[in-house]
Amino acid sequence: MKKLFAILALASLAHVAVAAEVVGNAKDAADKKIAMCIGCHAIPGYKATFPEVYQVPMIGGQSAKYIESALQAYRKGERKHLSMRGIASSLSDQDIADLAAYYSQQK
Amino acid sequence: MKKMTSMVVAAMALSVTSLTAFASGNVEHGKAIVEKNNCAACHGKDFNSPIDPSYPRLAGQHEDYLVQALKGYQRGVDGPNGRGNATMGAQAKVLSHEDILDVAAYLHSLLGSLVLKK
Repeated sequence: MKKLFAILALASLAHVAVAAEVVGNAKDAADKKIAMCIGCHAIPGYKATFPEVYQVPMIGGQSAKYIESALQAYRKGERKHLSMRGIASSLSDQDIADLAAYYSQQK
Repeated sequence: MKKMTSMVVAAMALSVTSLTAFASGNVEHGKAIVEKNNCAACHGKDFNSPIDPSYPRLAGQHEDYLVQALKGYQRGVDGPNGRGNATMGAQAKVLSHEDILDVAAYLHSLLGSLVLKK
């Protein structure tokens, strides 16, 4: 019985470990998640206009980890930008991982 | 008529100038500031290979975006369009407005692997 508990405990640990690891899927992003990004980030010379005017950053080829941390910072409000805050707030961890995988693979 | 033409040309030249209102910084001075502040220690020697994947590639990034990002770090998380990051906040706060323009010009001038694609 004790052994069974031990196995159950181990199994639940393994389960937690799997849940914590969000793996990005670039294809999922391409199929249904980049629509919100490309209106700005895929247009050469596109500028953010409010409240300051500047070209939106090139994000293709940044590492997945950086894209994730940037999106999480917008979501948490550590980076303040109205449109990016709104967009990042609508993303799940899985969405963020998928988009990060997608843009990090661009060359 | 000739006068008219030259006026039109002048007006067009002026309007083109005002469209490129974003003043470019001094690349050489930017390079000196970047070296003095040891930005490469995190962002990588070529600014295209950061030492940690959670740090951004900077080489070739749009100049005006780099200015915007540095200004954001300088203002801090409570400032308008600010950014909260302990390391970058400390780095950006020692820079003058001119310094930021120059750093952005230098980083933008470098060859990198960032792309703009759909």
